[in-house]
Amino acid sequence: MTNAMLSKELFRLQDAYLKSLPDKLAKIKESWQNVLRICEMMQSDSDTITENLQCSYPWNRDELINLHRLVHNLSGSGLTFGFEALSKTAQVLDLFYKGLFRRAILLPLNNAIKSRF
Amino acid sequence: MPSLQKVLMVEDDLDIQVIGRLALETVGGLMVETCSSGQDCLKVAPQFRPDLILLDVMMPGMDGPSTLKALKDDPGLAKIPIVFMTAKVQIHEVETYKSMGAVAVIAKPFDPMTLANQVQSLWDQNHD
Repeated sequence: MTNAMLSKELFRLQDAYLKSLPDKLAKIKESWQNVLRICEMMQSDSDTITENLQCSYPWNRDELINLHRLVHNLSGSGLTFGFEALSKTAQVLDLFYKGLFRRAILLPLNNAIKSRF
Repeated sequence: MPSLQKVLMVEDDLDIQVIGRLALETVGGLMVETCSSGQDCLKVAPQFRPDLILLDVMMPGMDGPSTLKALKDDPGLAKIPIVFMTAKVQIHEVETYKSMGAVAVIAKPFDPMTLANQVQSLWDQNHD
């Protein structure tokens, strides 16, 4: 394959990626709404998302994993296809969801430890 | 030194699979097989016999570290060098992945024009 053909193929892949973005973003939005819905279903008195996640964990676990994976993939693929701003924004969300997920696991564990002493 | 010819890319994101294959085959002249999960990797690797495995860290079901452990536990696959690929990798995470048995970590996003050279360099370093 010549360089011209390679460039053409890369451009074609970039175009296909661009067209798939609305669907990817819709899936992230839907997943986040699912996480919040599960939090609300737990009828927690907590005021913060973290505390709600704590209350809804492990019911929220699969949805949190799915949400984090969707954002993580976007962070990894955006710049590869030439969309730097998309990658950078997704990286911020990636770290945000990673932190939420860790707290959702650690907080119940922390509470369990405290309850023993 | 044995030459790098066959690479197995394990990646759940199909967009990355497609562009990774293009980069490794077209730019690097490598023979590439792809699969989308750790479970598939364990089925494909014994048949394809890759020289090197590029392994995504975050995958649904069996993730990268679990897949690496399963590969290392298989005497027929244990010696295949494994390179993790992951987004926003942090220094302490690189050390953790290496302590698990990975030879290196490639950060995503990667440049399709230089990925093959990067993989070849890692191969060369691993066979000095």
